[in-house]
Amino acid sequence: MRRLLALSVVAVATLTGCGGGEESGDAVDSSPTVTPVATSAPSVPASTNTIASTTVVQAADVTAATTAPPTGDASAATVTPTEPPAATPAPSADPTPAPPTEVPADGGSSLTEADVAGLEAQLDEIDQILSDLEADLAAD
Amino acid sequence: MKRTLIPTAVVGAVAAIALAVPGTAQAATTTAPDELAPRLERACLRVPNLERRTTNLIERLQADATVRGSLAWLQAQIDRASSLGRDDVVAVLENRLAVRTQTLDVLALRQTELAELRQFCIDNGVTI
Repeated sequence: MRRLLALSVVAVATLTGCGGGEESGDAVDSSPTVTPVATSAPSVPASTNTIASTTVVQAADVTAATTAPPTGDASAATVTPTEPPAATPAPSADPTPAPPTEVPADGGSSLTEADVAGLEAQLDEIDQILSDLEADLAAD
Repeated sequence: MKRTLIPTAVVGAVAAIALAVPGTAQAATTTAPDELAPRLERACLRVPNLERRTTNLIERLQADATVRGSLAWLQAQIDRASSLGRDDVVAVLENRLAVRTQTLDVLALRQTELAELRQFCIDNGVTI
């Protein structure tokens, strides 16, 4: 029993980094200190794991939404036969992936961060294309 | 005694693991649902302006040779420079015409995309 208790204390100390470098014999002597750690367990709500996992999924969605295919401006520019300095590369013809089109049944409560981020990214891209063209036209 | 210590040790180890991974607790801090609606509304309010600018630019590019910047106008400039033997200018203008022609196609696609975004906003309760 003492060995088991000692092992658990060492495991706790190692994982928390609080007991780094201490001898296992010390852990046995300081076994009463295990109690606060053990009592702190209920403070970790079970829902934390749920939130964390949900967040991971959302983060992946955000990444997917914000990593829309590159505009491909460079490839469009290489289409041009010659490369005069005044040329402005055309924006990519590839449309940005459409935002999630899942229509919430309750009027928007299922809206996610990824949805909004994707929308903002698309609007930013379109805005940039329009601004570039407007600047190009102003130079004519 | 033995019975009580074993679960205690297990619980302690679990707690230690949870404490040793603070990232899981911090990862939960994302945009609150209450903040998403205003963000969505702000983004959606940009759609009409972008639609208007896109339409105006498409009309301008498709206009006749009297409208500066249109494809026809660029072609007229190319013809004029060519007749004057300005090959360097012709090359620049031809390149610009090619790029602008591609841009017109892109604008048409983005116009369709904007319509979809507008519908997305409406479906999510934003009136624009």
